[in-house]
Amino acid sequence: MMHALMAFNGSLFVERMVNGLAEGSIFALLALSLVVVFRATGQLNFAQGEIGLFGAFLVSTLTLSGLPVWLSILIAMVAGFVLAAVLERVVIRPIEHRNPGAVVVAAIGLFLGLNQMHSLIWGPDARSLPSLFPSGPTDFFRLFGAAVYWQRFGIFLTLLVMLALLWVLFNRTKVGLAMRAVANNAESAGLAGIRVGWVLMIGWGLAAAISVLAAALLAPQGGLSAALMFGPFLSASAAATLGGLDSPVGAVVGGLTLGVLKAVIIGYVGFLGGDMVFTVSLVIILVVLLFRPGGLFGSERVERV
Amino acid sequence: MAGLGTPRLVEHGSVQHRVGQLLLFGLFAAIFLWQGLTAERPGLGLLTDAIILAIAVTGLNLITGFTGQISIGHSAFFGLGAYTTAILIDRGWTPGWTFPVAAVVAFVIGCIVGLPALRLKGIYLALVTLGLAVAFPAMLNYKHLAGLTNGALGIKNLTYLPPEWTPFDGRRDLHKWMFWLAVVIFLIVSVVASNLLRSRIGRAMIAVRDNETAAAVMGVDRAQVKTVVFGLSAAMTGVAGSLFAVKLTLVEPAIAQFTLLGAISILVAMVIGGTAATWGPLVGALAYTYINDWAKTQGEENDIAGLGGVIFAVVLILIARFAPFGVVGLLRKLRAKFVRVVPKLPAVQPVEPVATGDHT
Amino acid sequence: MKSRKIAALAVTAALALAACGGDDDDDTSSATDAPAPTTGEAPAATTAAPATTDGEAPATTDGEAPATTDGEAPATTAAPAGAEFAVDVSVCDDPGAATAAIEGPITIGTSYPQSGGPAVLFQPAGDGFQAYIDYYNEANGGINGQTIEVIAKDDQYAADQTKNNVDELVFDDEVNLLSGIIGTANNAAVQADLNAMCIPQLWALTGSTMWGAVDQYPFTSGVLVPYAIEVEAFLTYLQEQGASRLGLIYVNNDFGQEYKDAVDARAGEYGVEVVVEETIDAADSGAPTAQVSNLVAADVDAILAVPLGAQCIAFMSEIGNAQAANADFDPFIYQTGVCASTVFFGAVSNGGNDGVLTTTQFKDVANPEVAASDEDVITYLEAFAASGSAADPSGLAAAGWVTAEATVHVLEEAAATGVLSRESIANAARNVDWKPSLLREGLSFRMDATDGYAAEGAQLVAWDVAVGSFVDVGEVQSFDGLLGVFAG
Repeated sequence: MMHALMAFNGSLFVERMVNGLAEGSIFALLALSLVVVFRATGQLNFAQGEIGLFGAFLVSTLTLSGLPVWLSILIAMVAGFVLAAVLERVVIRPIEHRNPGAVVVAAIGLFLGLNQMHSLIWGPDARSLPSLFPSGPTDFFRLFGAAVYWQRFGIFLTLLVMLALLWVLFNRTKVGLAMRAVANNAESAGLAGIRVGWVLMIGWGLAAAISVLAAALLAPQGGLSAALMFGPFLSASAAATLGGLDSPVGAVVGGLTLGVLKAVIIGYVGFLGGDMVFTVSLVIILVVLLFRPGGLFGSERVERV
Repeated sequence: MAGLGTPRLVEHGSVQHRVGQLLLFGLFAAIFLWQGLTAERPGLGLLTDAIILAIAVTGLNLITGFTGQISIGHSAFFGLGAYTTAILIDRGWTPGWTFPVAAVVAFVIGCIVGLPALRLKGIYLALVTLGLAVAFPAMLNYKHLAGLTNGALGIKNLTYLPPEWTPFDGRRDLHKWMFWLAVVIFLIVSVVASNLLRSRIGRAMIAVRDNETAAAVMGVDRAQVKTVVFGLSAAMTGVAGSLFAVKLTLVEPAIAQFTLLGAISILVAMVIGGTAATWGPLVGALAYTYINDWAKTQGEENDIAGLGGVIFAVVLILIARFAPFGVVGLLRKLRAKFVRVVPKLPAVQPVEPVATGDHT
Repeated sequence: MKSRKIAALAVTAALALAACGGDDDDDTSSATDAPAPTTGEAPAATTAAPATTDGEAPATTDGEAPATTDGEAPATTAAPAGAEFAVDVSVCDDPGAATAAIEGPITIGTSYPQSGGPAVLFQPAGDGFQAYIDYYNEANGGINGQTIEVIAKDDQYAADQTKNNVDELVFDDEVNLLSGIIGTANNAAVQADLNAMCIPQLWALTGSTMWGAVDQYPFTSGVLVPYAIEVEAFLTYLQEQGASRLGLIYVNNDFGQEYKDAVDARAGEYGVEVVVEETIDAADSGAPTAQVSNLVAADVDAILAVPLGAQCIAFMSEIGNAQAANADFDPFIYQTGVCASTVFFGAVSNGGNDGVLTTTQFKDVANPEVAASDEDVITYLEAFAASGSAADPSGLAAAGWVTAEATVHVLEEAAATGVLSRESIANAARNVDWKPSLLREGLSFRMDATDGYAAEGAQLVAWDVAVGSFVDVGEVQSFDGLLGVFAG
């Protein structure tokens, strides 16, 4: 009996870790998008989650009209890219020019507007989204006795792929170099011949595309509704803070950590309960920030922003 | 532009300046008096909501406008004040006395939050205050604190009837009582805020905002300043929360004003009004409340889900675009075409002839 | 300086008002103003109450204010079951307004979320409401020629906006009554005022037990099956099935809390023990994997789930996964009736919804057989389609329709007394005994002086994946009279 109990707990632990990592992967993806925007523009885009939501609804419409899931997601990512780039150019840039403080209001306006626009276009009812990965109840493999679902594992893999792609982008491509220059010092970058405007738009666009991907991966599990991205976006912000706002690796580590932390708290710290998870996470992040104000992997200069 | 001529210069502190200020104050006072005496319940209720928001924004403005630190956590102080009042009324306290207690509680918590503010700056401080905004409703729901907060069910029956010495007649005039209470509290808070600005601490605050290193060199105790100001800021917003609680007559964790959305509303109202300006909070709160109400009405009349929200969002973006320094900023720009307030010029000292030597 | 003088005045004023602030608000007037038929008055107020209440306040209530309500009107009356209820208008703010005959168009005010985030999910209820009113006006030309108008305001699910909306509706639009306000806190915020003003607040669109306060707030009633009744139905079922280990998973707001309280209060009676409790954060849009893992680990044989809105889909999907991964995990699962629609159950693709129980008091509008054969359902579907709403008719829209129909029924009954007034409307509501057209056979709305809840019956249903719709489980259960009156 004891042996069975031990074995059971072991596989339960693995199950919890895997689920935590899967949920953390969503946070990490969103955190990555925040980091992309921050590295490219020095700003944070509040409305990112909602552009992701927009993309997810688009995926729903596309798949309902017969397109395969992967193609719908790609198209939605492109649409999100374009939308964000346009918003940056048309809404944010003119305001930033005059008063960076007012950008907050504009971003909040975008957040609200995009969120409400969904009901206008798609109606208020919740809907379901098909998954990119096999998501039937038996689509799992066993790891130390725990059931690891392909859907969850797939999200984790996607995260790793995205991280790798971004690393290549930032460190090996001209565009990435331009982004780093602009984020470092936009004026000098402009003087050096870099088209600052394009870089900003690409930054926003890329971040939005990643958000769309995150939303499209999250929605199949929980249903698609207007509130889908509120919580994950908050967790992603916390994750990015933990990891360092200008560090992609930090974003990933931060996101995964938060996901695992959530699983651990709900699973093993019963007296706290599900509602205190975010609070506890934030306390931990605060402690980390006291020792490393730039986040775990962030560079010190970030704090002066 | 040429046809307008040069703007007229008015010295700060001069008679003309003071008269101008008094007229402005008188204008607002007249509007409020007119509304307070003649408005019906719903109209007065909406105006009262705007004033309560103005009080909360004045608190936030103290921190953000004058020290440059961003806080998106003031909903926590708002809710703290509201719940303090609620819990005390539930235990039999006279509502009036709960207000100063709520202010003190919020002040203490604000100072505690102000302490870590020392180590963190800019975006990281913002994220910590965000954490505060999210943690607060979670703690209200927390089952082990439910003995105090009544958990998810909240606390009801929080009525603050007009006291006997007022000209108001019990429940019938409750809305008027709420209105005037809010106005008085707003005046107090506003006066405190602007006096603070002109005081020694106030000048220190501005120094901290503009250049931290210089402030350190000047010997301004940044730690003390930030902490106390956070506390005061929290206290003001806390009192706004107390008012909110007795006006709504109930509190519960799900109320939007106690969540991150509430903190964002306070922030948006502040930015719309214009930061670091004495009139900013009131103008911003009025603008926010009435634009939101108007947008909602559009949605209702056309019966389209979400239309109201989209309209409001568009208006926000337009304001950010065309009045990036807030409505007050916009008005100041307009006023600057006609009148400009300049600092008092130092009196010219007669120049003593300098004793020259005999070399030429 | 001028500013100092003002400050001094203001501070003095503030201190003065703090010092003298309301000595007389220990007894929150909300209760003492609310018409209470048995606060020591002559039984003229309870017209049909038989001889047991002979001019004195019944012993149980005299001076014994229950602990939670300090100095307010007593919660329970000694009037025997079945007594007809009559409201006492003499304690209204304006008795004349309460008894005045309503002339011209009858205006109904309502407030519900039309924008603002997740609550937009509830908007279809408003569509259903309006659809019925339009249908009724067209079919009957109103009540005795008086057309019915609806003025609906958006409160974005925020209780303070509801309060403002109701003020506008009452003072600016001068509506005759309120009906179908959504949200527990939203209704609670306006309950005291409306009752003091003697304005009917009919059919609150929530399942909270608060609306059964017949004595304290007689003008307020609720239309959804009280959450406690749902719990009762499920517990009855569990006892029949011999299940005893219950796992509870609920959203951490007042909605979820009511279910938990009901379970805690009643589980023992049915031999059921709560062995594990999990909470879901109201804003959590992900899958509740960790919570479900805990439920699996606790080896429960029954689960009561109260997710919020779209979380129902996530929960059921997670159950599907858990069942596939753990061969011996097969508990009886019940999910809150708020999610009892094809919109939610049909969205689950991995079989997690198969066999999940819930209750409903409405006919299964989404079932093609029912939709083809039941006349009332056909009427509803046609009228709803004609209204042009984009919402799914099988969701909350049906609740809106029923709410409107119940409102109109009450208006008809009130008009039949000869005078259509707020007083007669309130009485007609409190004494309702009638079956809405979309309500299941065997159920009805019934209230009286000792029964504050209209909708105390439900049909336990289970989702059948093979058929793609709900299937009835057992007979319709009526718990009429079980909850009595809300005691505070």
